[in-house]
Amino acid sequence: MLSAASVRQQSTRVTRGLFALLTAGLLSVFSIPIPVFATGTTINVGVRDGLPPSLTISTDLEGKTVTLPNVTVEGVVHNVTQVIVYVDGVYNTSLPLPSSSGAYTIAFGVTPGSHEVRITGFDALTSNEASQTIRFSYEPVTDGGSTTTTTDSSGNTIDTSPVNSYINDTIDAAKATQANAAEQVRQASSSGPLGDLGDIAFNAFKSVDMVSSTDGTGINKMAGRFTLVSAGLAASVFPWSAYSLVQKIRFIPKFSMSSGLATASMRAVGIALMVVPFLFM
Amino acid sequence: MKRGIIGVGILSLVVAGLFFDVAVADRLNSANYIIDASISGNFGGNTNSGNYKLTSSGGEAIAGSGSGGSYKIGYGYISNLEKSLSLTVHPSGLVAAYQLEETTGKAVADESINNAYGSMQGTLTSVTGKLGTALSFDGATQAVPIANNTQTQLTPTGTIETWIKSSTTTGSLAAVSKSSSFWLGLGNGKATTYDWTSGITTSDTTTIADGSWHHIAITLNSGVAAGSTLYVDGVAKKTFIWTPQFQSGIFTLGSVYNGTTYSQYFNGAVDHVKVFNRMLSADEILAEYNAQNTGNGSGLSLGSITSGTSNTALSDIIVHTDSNGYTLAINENNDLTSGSFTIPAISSGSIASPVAWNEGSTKGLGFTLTATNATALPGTWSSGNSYAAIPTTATSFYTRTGIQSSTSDYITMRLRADVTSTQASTPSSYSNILTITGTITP
Repeated sequence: MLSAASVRQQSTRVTRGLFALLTAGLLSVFSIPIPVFATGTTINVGVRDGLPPSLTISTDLEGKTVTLPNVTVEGVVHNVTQVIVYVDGVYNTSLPLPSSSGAYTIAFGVTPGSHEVRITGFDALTSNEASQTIRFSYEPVTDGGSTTTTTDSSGNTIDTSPVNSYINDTIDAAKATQANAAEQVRQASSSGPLGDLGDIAFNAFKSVDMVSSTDGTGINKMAGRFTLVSAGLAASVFPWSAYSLVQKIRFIPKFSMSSGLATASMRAVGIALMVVPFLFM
Repeated sequence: MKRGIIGVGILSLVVAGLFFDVAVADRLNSANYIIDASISGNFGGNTNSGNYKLTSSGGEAIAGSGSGGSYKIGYGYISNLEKSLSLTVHPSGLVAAYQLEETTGKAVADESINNAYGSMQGTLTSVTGKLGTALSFDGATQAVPIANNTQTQLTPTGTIETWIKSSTTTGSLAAVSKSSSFWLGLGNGKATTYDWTSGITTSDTTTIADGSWHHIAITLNSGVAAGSTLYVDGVAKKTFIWTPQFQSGIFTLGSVYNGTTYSQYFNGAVDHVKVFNRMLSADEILAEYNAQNTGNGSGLSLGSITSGTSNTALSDIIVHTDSNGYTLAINENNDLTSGSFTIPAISSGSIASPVAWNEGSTKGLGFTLTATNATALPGTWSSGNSYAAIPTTATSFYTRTGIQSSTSDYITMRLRADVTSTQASTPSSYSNILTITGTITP
């Protein structure tokens, strides 16, 4: 026993099925093949003669000295599918070539010193090869650029050749030294007890016009005035001590004075020492 | 008596419930559409968005009129459904192909047999491409990630190629990448690739971020020093080592996506991205460049041949269709030519009666079919051992029938050529244009 809903569902399916079959039948009667897409592609083939592979080098490196670690060699090949580079007998790199004969360019890296580089043209079709050998030296210089590269974590290319690294290190060290020295000067001139004391003294003398108000060019006058004033003040305040001190100086003639005369003389000299700088300096 | 009535009633409810459940499960609901199942009561296919995902059955359209974001839904019944077929020919080994012809929607179609669709992050702009249209990336927020799939896990070899157009000469711009595996794009305006394991960036020396289209490609050979090659405009430029850290990263167009964040956004246009699971030869890379540079979707190369030793090339004919069947026809514009020289078709052997290839004595260009995932190849092709000349007028060579639902087929075609000793005395490069035509058979 089925519910009304399920019967309706079944009936609908049968109706749809008949309609689909009828439609398919009509389509088969009137169907017309329809070309809907055409795609074009090219076919390439190279025809070769039976000659063996050959390779020439046009770059003039034989007996020369290069100053960069990356070397580029150019030349012409015939019936060669791959160029291979051996440096001092050790495989270095290779470059596939289209089958057509023609020019090639290949780059490889070397270390400082003399090298024997063999360039081989290999023909994968016949497993034959042709080679040329060149000898040259690589002597780094400090002003050369380089194309040896690596990358940092951000994917940026960095020149890491020995020459370039040395130059960069030197520049970085110089920059560091310069920055360090500048910092030391700044700190020495702007901080510390001696620096602060000097600034206080300078400003004090400047306020009484003992030094230049604009710069330190009057420091010599200031020092002279300071010395004379100090000596005059000492002689005036402590005349007997000053007299005793003068008596002990080797190059001053020794003469005997009474206590009162000595005191008066020392005070007079002291006053003179304090006045003279302001009159004549 | 009452127990009997109650029992029948319960049984009726159970039966009715079963039918009712089936009926409910066969309905697709969305804000714009309600679609009921047809005769079988099942929609089949992938499920998503609650219960179902509408999958394209051939090309972009599902059927008929009525637009969705990246699909169309027809009204009426089977008879009103529009049939479609897309057809492309590529060198064999294609595992992903993004022609980037999308002008609406978010989906980015994969023309390979794997149907690994991408989904736009942001609204990318469709611009004039190298072939048809291309997608323009803004260099800041836009990318097309493709969910990880085994097809782009290139072990141990592979090839990635694409066309790019950019004017940005600084920074790292990823055109095609698979996080922790491969990277192809621009580095400071130069064609660049990157090896995650060694941390080495390899760049060409010439700036190609010049506002023009350029073809860049890498052939990859895992773990082999200088075993991988960077190509620019069909020419090998640099060799490098490529060793993927792992292969399960996310394949992405226009950026690098590690599953959490995007980086190295591409600023410019990208067109015709292809990934192969083998290393294309230098001849094949050059053929691809030359073909696409002159408006053809792909280029096939038989490499170089010497008289008496034939050479072969495999290509895949890829068909996506929702039709009940289709027929493929083939023709070429002329014999392989190079100026006044030609390589003719094989002297005997037609599509109706292909012949065995006798190495050394068979001369000319022929083709055969070697494999398919669809209808078994006709016995006349002798499993790829019998060859036919390629005619100059379109001639049917393969028919597929009995398709019940949307399908993606490949038919592998092998080309083979040899020349006479006289012809080999004049070395040269020969070429022609091959055309495959697909016809729906309702």
